[in-house]
Amino acid sequence: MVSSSTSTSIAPSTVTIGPYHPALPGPMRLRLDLKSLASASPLGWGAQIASAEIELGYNYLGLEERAAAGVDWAHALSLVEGLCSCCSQANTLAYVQAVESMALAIVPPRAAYIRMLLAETERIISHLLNAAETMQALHLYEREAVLRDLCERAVQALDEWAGARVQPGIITYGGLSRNIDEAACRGLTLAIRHVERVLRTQISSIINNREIAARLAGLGAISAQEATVAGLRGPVARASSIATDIRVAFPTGAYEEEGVTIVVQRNGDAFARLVVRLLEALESMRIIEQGIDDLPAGPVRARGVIEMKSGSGIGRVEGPKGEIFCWIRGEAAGLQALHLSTASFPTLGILPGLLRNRQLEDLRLLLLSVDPCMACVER
Amino acid sequence: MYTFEPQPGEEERPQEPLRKLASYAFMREEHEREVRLHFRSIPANGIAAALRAAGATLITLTGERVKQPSEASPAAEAERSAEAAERGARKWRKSKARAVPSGEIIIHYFYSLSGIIYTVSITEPSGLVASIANIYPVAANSERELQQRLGLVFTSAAQ
Repeated sequence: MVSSSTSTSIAPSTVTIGPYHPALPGPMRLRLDLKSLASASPLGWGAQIASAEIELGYNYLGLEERAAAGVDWAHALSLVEGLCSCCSQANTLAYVQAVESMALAIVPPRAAYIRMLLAETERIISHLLNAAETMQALHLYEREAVLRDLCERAVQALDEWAGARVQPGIITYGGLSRNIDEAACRGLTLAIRHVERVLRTQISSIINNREIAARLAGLGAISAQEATVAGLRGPVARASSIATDIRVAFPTGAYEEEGVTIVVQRNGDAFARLVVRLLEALESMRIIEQGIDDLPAGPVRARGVIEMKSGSGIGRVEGPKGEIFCWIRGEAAGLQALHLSTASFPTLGILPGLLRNRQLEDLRLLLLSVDPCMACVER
Repeated sequence: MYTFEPQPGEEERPQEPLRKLASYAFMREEHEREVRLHFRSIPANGIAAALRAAGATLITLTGERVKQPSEASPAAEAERSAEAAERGARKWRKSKARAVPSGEIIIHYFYSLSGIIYTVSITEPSGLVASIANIYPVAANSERELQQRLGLVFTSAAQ
């Protein structure tokens, strides 16, 4: 919807995109004020964004309000897992860690390892999907097809290994709801090795591609200081040379045993963010292979019934988009308060500044490069 | 512009402001990798400045309205249910739906410092809370969200 008539030179005008639009990462309304630009084409190509305003509320689930009204423990777990499809395992992990810290429950080592494998598989899928969509926005459809195929193979591997393409519902309080046998784990290793082999060739070709570098280098650059002040987390912060990763800084579960290499880039632009995500996907594949090699035998659930006590607890997990922090307060009957803070929340805060003075056709690439998750933001 | 440069003397004893802060807390609990500090009617920006001076980063903040113990106790609930049965269930449901949020406001701030989470809980019965957005700019959006959800008011330092 464009409020002004189109002509060879675009007068100051307002474009409203959304709440549902293919260029947007999720439901939201984006109001863009465009500058008058003599060189803009009749279709608006070349128009510059003067200011941007984001309107949220189209994906609001009221998770925290529901928790404040009182929810039993089983229902609360399904609510958190169903919050978002691309970060469901990371969100669930942060939540159950918070409950386990409140109940002083000990998670068996095998369950801790399988949880780590689930979280890393989810990271691979999220990063590959983002890279494929970036290639689509760059009109590089062959590369997009290869990356989408790799993403699909990772999703299929998760399906065969854990029993569902998304939200397998395995993670529960005190461990896992069911065990995964060794044969299924070997299948995951084989699938991940295939994805890794193809991805390595893709990464070297993407990094050395001048067309991609020319389009993405310098686009939406965020300095390290800006990232720190804005509280950015995850791949967006790591692309701005901030070496922060909860798997290293605050390791829990199997991450205490398995080493993680933090991928950092210095330029802070869209190209650096793409490279960070692709290299992190490779690092996740290495963690999965190592985790399956080191997978201990034994039960996957704490013995006996977990006794929920009155109190509060916290959980911190490095999700695909960055740190997920969960705080809960509960009692024996159920959950009484919940707060889930995800990395996409500060990311959306910098978006208006990031879009300012950029061309309208850069919008989709910029949104993809910061990769916000609307479901996690609105909760 | 807000910078993250250390203030004069900060680098000498970074834990000093934190120790001073802990002495003001009326309750301090230590858990595995978490320290909980509870305060009552204390300006949040003073605490944030002390933690900032110690080098802490703000992870997030949230708030809740906590019912008074008398309101939340099972005895009170049972009494309320009995009264409702007398008046008729329909009338009780109607009055419950109209109930406005009540109870003391508690704001929880989560800071990270040297691999330890500092959970600072401030009980503020008045509903007026000092904003920490000038110390931690990342808090601005969360404060706006809480303002809408809980109906409390964040006051800036200038006020």
